[in-house]
Amino acid sequence: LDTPFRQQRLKAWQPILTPKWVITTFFVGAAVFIPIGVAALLASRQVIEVTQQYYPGVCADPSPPSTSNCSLTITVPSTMKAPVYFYYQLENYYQNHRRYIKSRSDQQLRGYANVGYSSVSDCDPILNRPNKTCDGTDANCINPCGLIAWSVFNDTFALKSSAGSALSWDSSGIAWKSDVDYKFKNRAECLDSTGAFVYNVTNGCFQDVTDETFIVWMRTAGLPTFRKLHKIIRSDVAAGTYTVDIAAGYPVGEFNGKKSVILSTTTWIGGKNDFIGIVYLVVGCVCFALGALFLLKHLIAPRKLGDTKYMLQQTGAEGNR
Amino acid sequence: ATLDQDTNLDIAMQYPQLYKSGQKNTAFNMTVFFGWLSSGLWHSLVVFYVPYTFMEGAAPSGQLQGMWAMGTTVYSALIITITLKLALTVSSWTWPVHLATWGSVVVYLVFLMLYSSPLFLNAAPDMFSVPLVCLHLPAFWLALIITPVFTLFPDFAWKYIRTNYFPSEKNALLEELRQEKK
Repeated sequence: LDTPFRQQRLKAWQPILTPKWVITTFFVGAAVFIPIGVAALLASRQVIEVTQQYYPGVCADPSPPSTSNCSLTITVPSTMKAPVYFYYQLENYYQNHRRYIKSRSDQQLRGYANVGYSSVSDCDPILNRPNKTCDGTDANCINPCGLIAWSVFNDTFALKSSAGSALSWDSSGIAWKSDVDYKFKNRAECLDSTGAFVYNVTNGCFQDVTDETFIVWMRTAGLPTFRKLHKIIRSDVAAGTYTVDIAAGYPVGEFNGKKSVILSTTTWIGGKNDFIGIVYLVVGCVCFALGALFLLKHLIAPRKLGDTKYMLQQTGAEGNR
Repeated sequence: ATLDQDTNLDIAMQYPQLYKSGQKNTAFNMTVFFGWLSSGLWHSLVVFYVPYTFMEGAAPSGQLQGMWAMGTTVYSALIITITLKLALTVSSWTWPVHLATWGSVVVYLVFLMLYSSPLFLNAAPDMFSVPLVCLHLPAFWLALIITPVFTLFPDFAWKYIRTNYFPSEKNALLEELRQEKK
């Protein structure tokens, strides 16, 4: 019973914050964070990003099933080096709403047929096929069910140079590889003999879930203003004016939503994000200021370690040593 | 925390004036309470906003991270920050304390990697592969490094000022004893 552990007599290290250690720590912090902040800010500044809103703007809000066609002019200030990323951006759109996020069936999305009611119950209210009551089978349930799948963004775009020639782009690699490889497969009855998706209303095969544009939509955004990667342009985009032809089928006016397109390059830090560099610079400068302050105090009015002056002041006596 | 001792048994017996702090309520009063409250407010604001805004932009691959990656970054930054805050507060570093403190961070990391692996693809599809994607992002690491520093530098500076220039009896005594040992 008399072990160090039980008697609470374990060897203990009791650190004391000495001026030497603390001042050094702050200066080291400044030396590390300020350069990182500068590098991060420079990288963010190097990113060329062009944003252009089209609703409210040149496009009218469509009334499905008809689409609203419009053309948007964007100006690229300087040559954007490949790969150039094309995004659409939505504002006032809460993909992070709790009920919205829950409204999906991952079992269905992975390609399982007739997954059972418990795997689709969260999809309510986008659950029952017309005039049917969902019981988990694909005959009666929408597959893929749920609000997220049902609200997939469907404006389409074409990018043309000022001369009128279309820029080539593709959607390969816009979605997370882990999503493409593991989480999204079409169920067997929607595939033909070559394994390709076949649109078939009778079977309820209305959405190719392996479409990377769909997969990108299914990865819900965290903030009400969000952009989603739509296409990748594999060649440089020269400076100049470009036209974006839009066939808009996605109404957002009802909830005061906004739609924009974005062209952007990336650097080692990613897309445009001045915030990273700024935070590092602020913290680095604060570290430097505190280090300098404490150093000054220590040089001007140092306190000897073990100075009993404070101790005596508090006890008002000499202690009993 | 159960095993934490601010001074060991022998010192406590030898210097009864240390008990005055209990009588005078110096360690737990309204000032101290509101100090911790405002500290907590600052902590929570930084721990949320810094990772969230760092992870908002596109990755070098052009892809966006989405909600789950943002949340994973916030939570990971939180775990590291509270562990370091605890480390700042602990008085005596015995081996169980080391084990519990650093061990809990390790357990968190192990759990995170397991929970987001194919093992849990059926049970937790939303988290699948999310931490792995985070690990490849510079913004993630930058957030993890700066968030604890940004959160805790006031705590660190305050602890330094307090123990060096406004020490409690216990601090002064410990320092003196340490000096004598040398």
